[in-house]
Amino acid sequence: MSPTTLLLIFGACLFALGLLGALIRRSAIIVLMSIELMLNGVNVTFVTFSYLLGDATGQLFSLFVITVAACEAAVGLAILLAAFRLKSTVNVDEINLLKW
Amino acid sequence: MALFPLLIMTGIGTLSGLFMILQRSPLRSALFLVLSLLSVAMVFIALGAEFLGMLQIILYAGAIMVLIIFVILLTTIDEAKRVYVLHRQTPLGILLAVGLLAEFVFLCKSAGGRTPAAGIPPSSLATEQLGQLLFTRYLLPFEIASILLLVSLVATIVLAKKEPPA
Repeated sequence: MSPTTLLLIFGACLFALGLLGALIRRSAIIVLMSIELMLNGVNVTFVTFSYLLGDATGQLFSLFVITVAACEAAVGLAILLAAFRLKSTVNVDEINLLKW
Repeated sequence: MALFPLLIMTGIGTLSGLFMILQRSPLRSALFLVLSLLSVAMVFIALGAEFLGMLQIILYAGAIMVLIIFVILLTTIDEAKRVYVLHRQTPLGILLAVGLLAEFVFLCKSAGGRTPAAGIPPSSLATEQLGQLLFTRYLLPFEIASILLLVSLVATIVLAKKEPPA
């Protein structure tokens, strides 16, 4: 197995693990952390292709992904804090005021 | 690039990611996520993207994870009730994630195996090239990213503020 194949599979594994965590865990903080893991899988793929093609554009996109991930984590955690103040729980099954 | 060090880095990253989603305590999950982020930074530095690797450590493992740990400490009320309930959606979730991973691995095996192009610049020039791209060709996304940061800063403060007592 060549190093680049290993790195692409690493990115895919991180993405799939993040997806698994976002689907089966009930704590909203773990879901947010799994989303960060997914974004890291994408970053690894971008940087691997940037290394393969000799172009820094992949690293530039990874930079933007890190920036957007920071913004999204901050806003998501603020929403989580507001919901926690209301319901005293972070379980996504119990934050269901909008349900029919 | 030697395969064995890469194997160690990717192994650490994948295993800590796996442990992250299976822990009962969210604080331990956060620590495993920090380990996974640091292994990704190691991979970045091994690939010659040193600026991005340092940014990964400073921003992701440094700032975002500290924020997440703060929120974990603020929202954990009962330490004894860290129950990990096997949800009824768990088998479907595992099926979906494993299916997606199988698809990705098939793609990687058919697209990987390439070696880097013959004329790639050495890694010491990657930062310079990144800076040049950022301020010439990708200037508009750069400016939009700064506006996004400003908007998310204001939004976080407004959303997380306590209601003043009436």
